[in-house]
Amino acid sequence: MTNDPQSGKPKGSRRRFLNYSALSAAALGAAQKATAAPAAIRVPDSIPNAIKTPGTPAKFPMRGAQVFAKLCKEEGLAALFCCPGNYEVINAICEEDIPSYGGRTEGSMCAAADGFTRVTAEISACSGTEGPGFTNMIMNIAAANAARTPLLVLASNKRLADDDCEMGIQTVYQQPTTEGMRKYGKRLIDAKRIHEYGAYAFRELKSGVPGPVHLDFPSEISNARFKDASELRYYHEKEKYRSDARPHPDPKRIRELVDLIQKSKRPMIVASTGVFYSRSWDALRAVAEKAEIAVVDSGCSRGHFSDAHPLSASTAPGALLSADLVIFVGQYSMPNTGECSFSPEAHFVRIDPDPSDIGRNWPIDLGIVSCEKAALEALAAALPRMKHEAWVAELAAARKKFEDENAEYYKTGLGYKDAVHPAVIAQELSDFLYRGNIAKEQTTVVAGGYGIARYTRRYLRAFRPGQICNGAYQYGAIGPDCGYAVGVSAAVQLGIGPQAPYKGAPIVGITGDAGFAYSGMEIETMCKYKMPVVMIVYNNNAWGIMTQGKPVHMYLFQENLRYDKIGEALGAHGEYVTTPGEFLPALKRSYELAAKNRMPAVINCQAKREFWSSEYPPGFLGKVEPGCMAYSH
Amino acid sequence: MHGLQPLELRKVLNAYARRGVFRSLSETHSNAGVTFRFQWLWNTPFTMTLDPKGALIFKSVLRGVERGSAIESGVKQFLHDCQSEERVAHRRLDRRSVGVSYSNRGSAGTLRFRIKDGDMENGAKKAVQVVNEIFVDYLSTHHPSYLVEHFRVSED
Repeated sequence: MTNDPQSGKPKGSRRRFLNYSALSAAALGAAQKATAAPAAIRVPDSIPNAIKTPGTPAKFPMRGAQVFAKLCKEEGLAALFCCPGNYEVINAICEEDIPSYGGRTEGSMCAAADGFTRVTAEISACSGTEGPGFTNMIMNIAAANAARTPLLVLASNKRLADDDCEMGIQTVYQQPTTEGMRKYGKRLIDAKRIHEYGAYAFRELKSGVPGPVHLDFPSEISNARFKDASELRYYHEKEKYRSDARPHPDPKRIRELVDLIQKSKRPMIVASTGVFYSRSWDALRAVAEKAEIAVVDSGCSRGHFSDAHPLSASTAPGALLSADLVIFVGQYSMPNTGECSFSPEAHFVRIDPDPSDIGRNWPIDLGIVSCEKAALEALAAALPRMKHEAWVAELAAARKKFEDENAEYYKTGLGYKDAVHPAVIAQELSDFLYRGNIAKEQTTVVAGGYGIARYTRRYLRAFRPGQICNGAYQYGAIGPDCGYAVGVSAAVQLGIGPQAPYKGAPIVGITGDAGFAYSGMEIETMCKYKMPVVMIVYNNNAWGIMTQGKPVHMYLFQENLRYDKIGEALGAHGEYVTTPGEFLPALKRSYELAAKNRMPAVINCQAKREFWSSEYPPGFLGKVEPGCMAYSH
Repeated sequence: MHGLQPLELRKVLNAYARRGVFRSLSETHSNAGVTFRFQWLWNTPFTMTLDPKGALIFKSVLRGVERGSAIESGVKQFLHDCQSEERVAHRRLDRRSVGVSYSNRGSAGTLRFRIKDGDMENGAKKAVQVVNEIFVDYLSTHHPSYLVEHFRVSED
């Protein structure tokens, strides 16, 4: 039993404790009134100092965690997002000078890593402690799996010696938990094989159709000590344990595809996740331009083909049904019939590295097993020059029709004066990012949320690879958006992959009030790392799903909640926007602070749930896939 | 007798089935004509009947649509637009070849395609295209909740 430091009396009861607390609080309050204002939120020097201090890469003798961290470094692991726990591994990774970030929940850090990879095409890792930290990541591991993100999921685990004992705390069997939401997983059980299983992990991460890889480290493994390499099995350079070779297409099949394209009047490529991860955007453009083939984006990130290109169909939903030949390239999350807006008369081709997936869900006329880049390069070489002038004109007309429809929605949205309609947010954000003083290719956007995304995705544009991270994708998790924004901002701050030309630029994130609840604390992470993120929160006082039922209490929140104040309390700039006219000035102020001071902002846009009803046209919008509106595939 | 043989329609629908557009195609004969059943959009069942007058009928294809509702007027407008000269030729419904009408009985919308020029292949394909567009374009864009409620489409 401890003593009250004021009175010296024992603090043995709850009542006594509460009395003491109340007295202390009152005394503190009085003291504050009498003296100065509360201390300002600040980033302690120890944070930037620690970031600036170079790590000390390990040399033999090494511990298991260091062996693994060195392998990650050799493999080019681009970033680590973590919470405390799994200390040996995360500290060793950090010491290898792999950019490392610590956030507020493991789940959000998992989303951060997913977001990072979705806009860079580079592998990143997330980590949490055994048990609770690991299970906190589950939703976002599943989201990454649905998105086919090559995400390295790391977690500590209890001692092998304590298996099944429930000794102490945090006992859980991790691998069965991630089964069904990962590409590969392994609990490491033999310290000598730590490098070998690291190689297993990166072989899976860097080949075929990607997906999360989950390794869990019992403490005997991460703490094992190795005097030299002779104590490890299969300890050799990556060129010896994996190959960068890729499956190339059968030339006969490429000829068949050329034949189909030559017969087609309105050919279209659906450029999806595999195009991004194989970095084949240049080959894609070469194919499209050589034969005037339309291209529509799909997948969990956008921009592999610029929306500004005359052959882009990403913002021409009305043209999709005209395509008479559809070539899915790297479409890993395959739609079912009805989920894409294509004609029953069209012929369908799939190009995919996994032969076992070709023909799943969507019937095909031709399947080509190949790395997407190899197939597109072969196709570009084999195709004769072709013109499809009428098709190009139809695409242009469909894009214009879509823009006109959006302009009409905006006009309608402006008519609602007592709250901010989503069309106002979407159009004015779009104008600000693409038609103002900012280069239209610059700003990377996390397009999250549920109902709000039905609007913003219609107006957001992608002009280069990795410019849009589609928050909710096939798994439909709306909560990770602030986590995604941490990862995307880290990618832009570091200038990784296609983000390199825009290194240091602010990013924009969009989420809903429901989604903010899941990962809003990561605003603090943004502040801590001075990440210039403008986070737009669409606040309609309800879960988006309330459109599917009566607005009963289970679907509703308190009204007029101040997410901007939460942002301020965590160190960000806050804006509360309650009328349409206030949105753009708030956006400008927030962006300026982000650009000049690297200060995150939360723009709380007060809407109302009735905007999803038919009495408030345009109401809750539907969507057409693939293209800019795509939500599922 | 209309002169349009089920054989010709069967050929067209079989071609869709061979390509995997329709699944589980079957047919039954009755006084109402020849009815083809198949799994199609969102893996849900559809029927198309060739009636004794030679019309292709998607009976009650729009179930749960109230008479005079916004969906109904939207579908009617969509059918009108399908026949518009402003529509690209390859997606236009040429009135001289195929006529289309909509009716509602018991809160279920039925589409009836009348083949005027005797070209069953063209008529059947046009009918399938129009129904496809109603679902994957018009309803998906403007009435997503209807598809969730009546076609078990995911409410994402």
